[in-house]
Amino acid sequence: MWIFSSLISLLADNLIFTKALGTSTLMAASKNRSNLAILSLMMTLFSVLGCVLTGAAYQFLPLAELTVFPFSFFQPLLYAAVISVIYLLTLLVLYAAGGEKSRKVRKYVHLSAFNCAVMGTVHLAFPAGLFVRDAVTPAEFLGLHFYSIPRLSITGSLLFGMQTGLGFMLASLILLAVRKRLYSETVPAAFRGFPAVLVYIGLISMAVHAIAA
Amino acid sequence: MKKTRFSVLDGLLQKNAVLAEGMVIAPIVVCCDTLPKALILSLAFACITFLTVIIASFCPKKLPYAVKVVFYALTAAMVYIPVSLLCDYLNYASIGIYLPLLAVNSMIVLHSELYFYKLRRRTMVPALFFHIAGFCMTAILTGLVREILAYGTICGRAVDMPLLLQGFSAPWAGFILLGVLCALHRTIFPKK
Repeated sequence: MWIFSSLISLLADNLIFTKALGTSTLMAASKNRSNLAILSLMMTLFSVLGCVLTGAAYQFLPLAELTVFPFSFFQPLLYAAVISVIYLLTLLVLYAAGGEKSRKVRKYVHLSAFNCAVMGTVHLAFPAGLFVRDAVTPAEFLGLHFYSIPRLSITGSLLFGMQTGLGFMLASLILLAVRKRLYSETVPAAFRGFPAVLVYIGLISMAVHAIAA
Repeated sequence: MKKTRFSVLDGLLQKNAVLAEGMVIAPIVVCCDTLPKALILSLAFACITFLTVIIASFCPKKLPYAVKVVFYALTAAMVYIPVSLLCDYLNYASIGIYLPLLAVNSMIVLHSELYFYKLRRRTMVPALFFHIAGFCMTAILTGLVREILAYGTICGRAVDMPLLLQGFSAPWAGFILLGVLCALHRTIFPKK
């Protein structure tokens, strides 16, 4: 029962089926099983680290103003910087590790870092207006701004990132199961491949929409 | 001469970023359920992508790809600031988190390196313009069709529709409509 409810939750909150985030990356992931495993792991890694590092940046650096208008326009700059740091560190670790496997994984790092799914996860975890300004306090009276505790703690960020990664893996598995058929000769030439995949994702998304409702 | 002209115009129809290349799908699927949203999305996409690709083209080509990608993403995030201020000022329609996500669209982080920066600047600028125009055309078409079918309006003005299909405003309808548009595109422009 627990597994069933977790699966339903992963489907109902799936970023691909509900918000279409990471659809292009999903197409690449579902090409074969090794692609799927590596890309899903990389996406999970980037989502988790992205959320955790952004959460830490908000907690330990004086950046809470960034979520308040008009400073919220600078949020994407912070998120792009965080993802860039993770991206470069991951590449450095892989270069240091060396070997054939590391070289194989490296090409997926580029695809996993800067995409809508990872950036969307960070944006959804820390949206504009997340930190609500507290009522007037003595500290504010003295000119210091204090903000309420962020919605996502380090553990919360970690779980949110993992949910995105697992959701991506589930969506890739759903697509991988029928990929051969969608690309087969039996499908009319105009719909074969990419258009059929879009229609298929649309149908799954419709089912998810019904479950969530 | 003729070959160059055709390659520049390709982005508009033959190599349309969305319908042929499968790029920047998410904003079209979710945001383009009405024409005003499609127009704001098109404006934001055009400004962010055009300015970023032009500015980032001055990045030294000898730098490693990883460093260049970071530079593109950070440039796009900087360009996003005035563009989002403009969208905020216009106050026409809101596209939520899809506006900042345009800063990491695949035309900037992937296609620019693989296609635009391999062209000479005088060819690159019109090619980029037509690629962006192709995206905007698809976004506006999707927004128009979905608004008519789902709400029976065009930019909020009622049109005479015998039947409303409200589900067309949902993301799943965006996927299906985009799939059908891709198939139509393939029929008109078959791959050689």
